Amino acid sequence: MKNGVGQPVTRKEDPKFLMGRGRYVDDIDLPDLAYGFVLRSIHANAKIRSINTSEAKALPGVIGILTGDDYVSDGLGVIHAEINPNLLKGEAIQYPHAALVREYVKCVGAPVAFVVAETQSIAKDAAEIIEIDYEILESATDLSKVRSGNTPIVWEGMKSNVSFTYGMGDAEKVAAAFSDSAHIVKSTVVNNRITTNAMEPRCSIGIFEPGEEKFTLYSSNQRPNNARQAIANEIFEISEAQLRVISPDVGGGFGMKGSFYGEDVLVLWAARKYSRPIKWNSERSESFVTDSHARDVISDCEMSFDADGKVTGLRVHADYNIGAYVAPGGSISPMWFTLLLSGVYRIPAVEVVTRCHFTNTISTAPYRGAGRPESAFILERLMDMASNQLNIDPIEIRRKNLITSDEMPYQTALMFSYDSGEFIEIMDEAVKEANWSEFEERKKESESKGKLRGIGLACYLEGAAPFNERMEIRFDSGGTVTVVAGTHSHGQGHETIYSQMVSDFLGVPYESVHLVQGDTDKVPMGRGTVGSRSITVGGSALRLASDEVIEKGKKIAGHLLEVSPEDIEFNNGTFSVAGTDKSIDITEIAKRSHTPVMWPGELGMGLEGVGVFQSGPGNFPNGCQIAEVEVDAETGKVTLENMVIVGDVGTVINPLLLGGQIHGGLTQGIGQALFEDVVYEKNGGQLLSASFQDYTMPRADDLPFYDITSHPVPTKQNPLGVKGAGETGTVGAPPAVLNAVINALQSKGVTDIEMPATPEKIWLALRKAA
Amino acid sequence: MRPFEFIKPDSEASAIELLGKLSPNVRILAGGTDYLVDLKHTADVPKTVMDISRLPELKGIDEVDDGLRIGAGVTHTEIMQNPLIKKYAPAMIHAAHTIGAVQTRNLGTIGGNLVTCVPSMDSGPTLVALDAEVNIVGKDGTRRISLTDLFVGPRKTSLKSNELLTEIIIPKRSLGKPANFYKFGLRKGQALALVNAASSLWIKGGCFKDLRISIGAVAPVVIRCLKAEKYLEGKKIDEKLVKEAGNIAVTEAKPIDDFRASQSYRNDLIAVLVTRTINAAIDLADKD
Ligand SMILES: Cc1cc2nc3c(=O)[nH]c(=O)nc-3n(C[C@H](O)[C@H](O)[C@H](O)COP(=O)(O)OP(=O)(O)OC[C@H]3O[C@@H](n4cnc5c(N)ncnc54)[C@H](O)[C@@H]3O)c2cc1C
Repeated sequence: MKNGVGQPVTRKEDPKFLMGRGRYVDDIDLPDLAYGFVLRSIHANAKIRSINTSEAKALPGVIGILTGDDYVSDGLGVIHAEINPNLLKGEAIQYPHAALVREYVKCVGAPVAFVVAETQSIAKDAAEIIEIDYEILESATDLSKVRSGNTPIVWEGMKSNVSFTYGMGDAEKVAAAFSDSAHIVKSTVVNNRITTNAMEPRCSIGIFEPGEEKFTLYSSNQRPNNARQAIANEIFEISEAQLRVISPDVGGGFGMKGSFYGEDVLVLWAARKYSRPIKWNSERSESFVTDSHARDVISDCEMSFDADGKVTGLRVHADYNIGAYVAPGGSISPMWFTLLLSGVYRIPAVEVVTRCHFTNTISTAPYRGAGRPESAFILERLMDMASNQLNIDPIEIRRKNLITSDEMPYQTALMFSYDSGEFIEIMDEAVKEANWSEFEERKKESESKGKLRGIGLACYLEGAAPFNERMEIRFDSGGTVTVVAGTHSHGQGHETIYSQMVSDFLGVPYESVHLVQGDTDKVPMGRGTVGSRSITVGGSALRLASDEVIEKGKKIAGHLLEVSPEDIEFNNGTFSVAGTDKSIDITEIAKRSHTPVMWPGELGMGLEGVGVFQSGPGNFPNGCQIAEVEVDAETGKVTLENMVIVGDVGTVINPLLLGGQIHGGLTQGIGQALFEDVVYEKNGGQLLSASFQDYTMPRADDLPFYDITSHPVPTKQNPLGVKGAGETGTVGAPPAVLNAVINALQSKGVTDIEMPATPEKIWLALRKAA
Repeated sequence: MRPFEFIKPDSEASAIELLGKLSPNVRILAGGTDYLVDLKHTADVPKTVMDISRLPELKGIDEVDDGLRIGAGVTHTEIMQNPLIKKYAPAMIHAAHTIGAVQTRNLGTIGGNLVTCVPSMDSGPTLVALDAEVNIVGKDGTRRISLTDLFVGPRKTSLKSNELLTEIIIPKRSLGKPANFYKFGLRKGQALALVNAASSLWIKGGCFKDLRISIGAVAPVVIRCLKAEKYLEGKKIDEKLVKEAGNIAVTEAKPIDDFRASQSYRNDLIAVLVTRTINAAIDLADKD
């Protein structure tokens, strides 16, 4: 079927975006719009002795200036995270924070005052003359110091900087496995700190209608319904009906826009206070100090093996940096990390302890992968280290330990049970695709040019598709179709893929399917898009909604064709009476279903269906990536020569869009492995990598063409067989690339290197080893 | 950004006259890729900003009596596409290609790059290695100085506030001289040079002649490595000597030590880059 499921359909939404006709929050202009600017802390830790706004308030064009004191006196609620009680060990301490801080600033970028003015530049000029008297305190930004307890306490009155601890597994079983083991591989694995840098910086507009007492928030957000729920209930204590949240076109989210931010609250609050719509638009340099950061985990890891090279136990004691204020999504990455530490391997005993620390840094929260890359990185580094230590080929040691397809469903020693997967077959396919067997020849060729060459692999798995989802299909009286989606596309191409599905399920033209999303007044319920969930959970709900449409259609067809609905068959858009040539098209049914009079009440009004799908344990996309690198030993520069991925994301709905997801994911993973690093000043706590000059995201010319192969093993967890596809590239790339780099340096005596493997780090490692 | 007056003269003569009148409360704007970034952040907003991007006299690349003339208003993209540059100074094309990204190169000018005078400027080393000179015009007339005399310190040149840099001259003796530029940044595009270097040389009777070595980002300004040049000048081509010249060049630099790169790493990069640019220039040279 043209444009049907499985076809490489090009994106419906592309012409709009390519011709500059997208409508992002900043494209929205409103009569009487005023602008907000957030004055932020320039210190990592300080007491606010006083704030003087009088001169700034007097500046022509300034409408008002709000501070943390106003926030409290106006009785607004605080922002906090939900901590998963099933994983929590001991108590959780959060210092829920307001959208404007008071008394203390605990990181560079903390919001101190909100200046509202006629223009953004007036707001900025006014912010410049606000006088703040700070008493600077010592700060703690470096996780390696924080975890050893060698730093000041971030929140006065706490005994340590630990906010909460997650734990899983069986410590005794692991201890027993260790005492019986033939080998133990030990390492402290560091996952560096990174930041998202969505193409569209965050932007929000707040509107308040005094007559209706209703707020409208435009926000660059991945989960508008979730934002409405949280902001209405926890911040303003109003009914959800009094807040409409609209997330129009959003230019990339990657989890970073998965929760609401303080600025969303500020624009709404100021809109009500000053009776003006208020826009806040983040500049790029501001996004570096206000968008949540991610990863920043240091783990002490031990993996035990029997004499045969089989893993018998794993212990991971990890420390996560969650920043100064726990972001609404601040506990999500530690959770996935903790739950996924068995990965693709048969590990009889696992113990994970994940301590989450306050530091004087920006909050961390999910970023593409959210905990999954961190756990995969640990497992794949340990596998390579074991390969060295036990002197077993890296492919063979994995083969010994990968869960086989016969063992499915496989219950891990942690929580998850995997329903399907062909991990060994996928690894073998990747090894072949990467032409591993001829690597030595390529290595010799590199050496003849004075270069080092390395190859590395990573087998990995991730957990996808959290929560339930609701999708609605509605036919209008002209017969065109609207999908009302609880998910939110912000680059993924849902309009295309849902159109493909509906066209396939209901036999309607691909072109006649429209998507409504991202507006809580139009989408009554929905969980937005995070965690590789939309096509799996949303798509399955869409299947169920289609089934409901077909059921209703059969009743209407029965009425129109004067037979019992049981005698109606549905096939590719046509309802027909079994065994006859009597039939009626679904579009015609839709038109007739809108008949205003003389229409049986039991047939309802219009043609529509609602589907709700409960994803249960979710599904487990997996794959194998192989990276090959060349290293210039004199400068330390790595060139990524080849990148192979063989991935299982279950049934493929649109290979082109899947390719897009894999490309982006790989690039972000490679970015972390080789280029990107958030660097804080060791003592003063300033963010040093605060622009693209120093936060080096990779560009196309730094990367090779990717060799992408699909190896679908449909999941049984949903009616489509689809597994999540949004994050798998990012999960496998860091270990594959790092393993390749270390493989290249091995002959020179280098055994480990921290991400990102920048030229200088490699240069230094080579010198130290020499 | 605070308000300022914006003027856009249409000839070099009127630009010079206006500069004379308005100086020192005036700043020049060419492509704006450096200055607009500054202007957004600085408290020091001038009274007037004078846009020189359309002055016809600052455009064009021509062969003149004493060499090759490059207008200060020529963009990096224009350099990359110019047949005379390709013929006489192809290393400049390579240098221009490493600057920013397409958009930056379409707007940014060679004059702006030199006058901004950051130590990491990417057009500096090649031009220094080719003994480039610059013409500077003020209300008292024109003066010609060697490019190295334009550079005074980080973001500081010997231009007076009423003067305009009008053209860069690559002297006749350097036209077609084998030369190579190498930039080392943390990624291929949109990257600040940790170190950049250029070398040019002739080979006469198997020996180095008129060797020039220039490095950037490792001293307050782009510098010439006179000791390294002297060490090789007149000597027979030899890989080991080239390597030693790289080490000597290190002693002539004073790289900083910061979170972007340590001093010792930068030093090592100097040696590697100098060696590589000399070797690459040797490869290009006629070896009679
Ligand atoms: C994203 C980005 C990436 C960049 N990457 C690089 C890079 O890789 N390498 C690199 O070297 N640079 C880089 N730059 C810096 C910049 O693009 C170049 O230095 C460019 O050549 C500046 O030229 P311009 O015409 O834009 O200068 P402008 O910004 O217009 O002017 C710069 C300065 O020179 C003065 N000026 C300009 N022309 C004259 C003249 N004729 N006479 C007297 N004074 C004059 C101005 O008053 C101002 O002080 C980058 C900039 C950006 C924004």
